[in-house]
Parts: sequence; structure tokens; C-alpha cells
Amino acid sequence: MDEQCKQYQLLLMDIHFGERNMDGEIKGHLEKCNDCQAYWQGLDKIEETLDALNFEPAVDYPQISEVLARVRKRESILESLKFVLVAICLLLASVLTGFKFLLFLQAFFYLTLPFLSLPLIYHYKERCDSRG
Amino acid sequence: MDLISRARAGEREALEELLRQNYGILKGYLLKIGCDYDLTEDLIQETMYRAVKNIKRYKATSKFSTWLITIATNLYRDQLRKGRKEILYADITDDLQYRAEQLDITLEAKEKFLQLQNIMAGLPFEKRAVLVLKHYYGYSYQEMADILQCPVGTIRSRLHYSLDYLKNKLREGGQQLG
Ligand SMILES: [Zn+2]
Repeated sequence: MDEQCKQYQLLLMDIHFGERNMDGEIKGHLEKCNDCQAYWQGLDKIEETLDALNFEPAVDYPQISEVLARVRKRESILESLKFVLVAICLLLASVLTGFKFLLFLQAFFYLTLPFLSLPLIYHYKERCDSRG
Repeated sequence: MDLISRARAGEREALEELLRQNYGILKGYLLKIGCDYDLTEDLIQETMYRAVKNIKRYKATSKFSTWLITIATNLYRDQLRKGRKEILYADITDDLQYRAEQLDITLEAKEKFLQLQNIMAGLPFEKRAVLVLKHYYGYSYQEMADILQCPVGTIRSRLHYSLDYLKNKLREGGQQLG
């Protein structure tokens, strides 16, 4: 096969796969060259052969759930880390700047917030119960 | 809101649906490029994980399946780079038999399937990938160049080489596959 035919066959491949349109020059060569004609017709045959390997596997649902659970786990770890980091920063800031009241404020909320929120929880429960 | 936007917002149902819709394409691609069964399972897991983890980075300019295929290709390439030897189909008849059974295909189709895989195994990974992306998934040269991170000209010559290789193999084998 000469270099010219090699170039034409590349163009024929482009046309076969819809990357280029057939033009007069290529058509002209195709009509008079047996090698390129055989190549052109062979492309369909090759694609037909490749269909033997055409399949689409079934969906593995548990695998998808596993992936999503893994992502969720990573997110919750990151969130916990963020929380710990902020807490450490606050603590350090309070100690270093001598603003002890920040420490007391933090401790006060930690200790009292659960109790302060009790009436609120009770209130919402009442409201839910009354709605049935 | 469309599925992609919902998935990007972190909605679990949307992510699940997106993965479900593209699962077959991803797994089919890995098996067709010649990835062995165990590694395929690992790579699917890792590809989906990275896709979900980085969902905000996904630009909807290409299909979601294209994004998955790009991630999977890079992961597979990393495996080869790390020195993982590609399992040659010719030496793993048992595995192929198993694979064909897993894929639930008929006996006759199985025969052709195994023959074709043997032929495909003779191609280097990069050339096999081009053939698979073009024939089974209809990607354009430009899309394949983006997935495989190489120039369009390289894609074109790899495809030409692969087609020639297949043609010669079919001729040698008396076109049993046709
Ligand atoms: Zn010619």
C-alpha cells in the first residue's frame, strides 16, 4: 500500500465514524482504488464483529449504597474534625488572650443549654400532641 | 431542578439515581478495555466514590458517564503505572468463563465473546481504549482526546492502528467471528 492510499484510508475512517464528510476527491479515489474500496467495506465488517462484545452489566445496588455510605461517613468525620478544630481555637484564644469570660461563657452554655432547652422541647411536644 | 443539580446539592436520592443510570456503562467500559474482574469491582467502587465526593467539581458540559469513564481510565492507568501486569486473556480462560457467566450471555455469544477478548488482549491498553470508546460509546475524537488526555491526532492514529490490527486478526482467524 502506498503512502497516498494510507492517507485516504485515514480519511475514510474519519468518514465512517462521522468525523468528516465524503467529498469528490475521496470519492474519486475510492472508485478507482481496489485497496481503499476493500478498506472502506471492511470497516462495517469490523464493527459488526465488535458487537460480540457489546453488553451492559446489571446494576449492583448494594455497591452503590456502599459508596454513598462511604461518602456520608467521610463527610461526618470531616464535620466532627471541623467542630473539634473550632473548639480548640476558641479555647486557645480564650487562654492566650486572657479573656477568661469566653471560657466561662462556653462552660455556662455547655452546662445549661440542655436544661434551658427543656421547656422548649416540652412546648413543641405539647404542640405536636395537640395537633394529633 | 434536574438530576445533576439535585445531586450537586447533595441529595442522596439524586446521587443514587445518577449512579444507577450510569453503572452499566462504567462497568461495561472497564470490562471491555480488558480490566480483570476483581480489579473492575475495585475500580467501580473507587470511581463512584471519587465522582460523588467531587460532584461539585463536575462541569455539566459533558455527560456524567464521560466523567465516570475519565476517572476510571485514570485509575486503571495508575494501576498499570504502579506495575500491575495486565492479565492477558489467553492465560485466564477460567476467569473469562466466569465473566461470561456473570454477564448472563448465551453460549454462542459467549464463544464469540471469548474469541474477541483474546484478540483485543493483543492490543496495548491505550489503543484498546480508543477502539472501545469509539465503537461502543460513540465518542468523538475530541471527546476521546479529553478522556485519554492526548492530542486528537494520536487518537486518530491509534484508532487506525487498532482497526488494522483487528482486520488482520480476523483474516488470520478465517473470520470465524463475523
Ligand atoms: Zn487507495
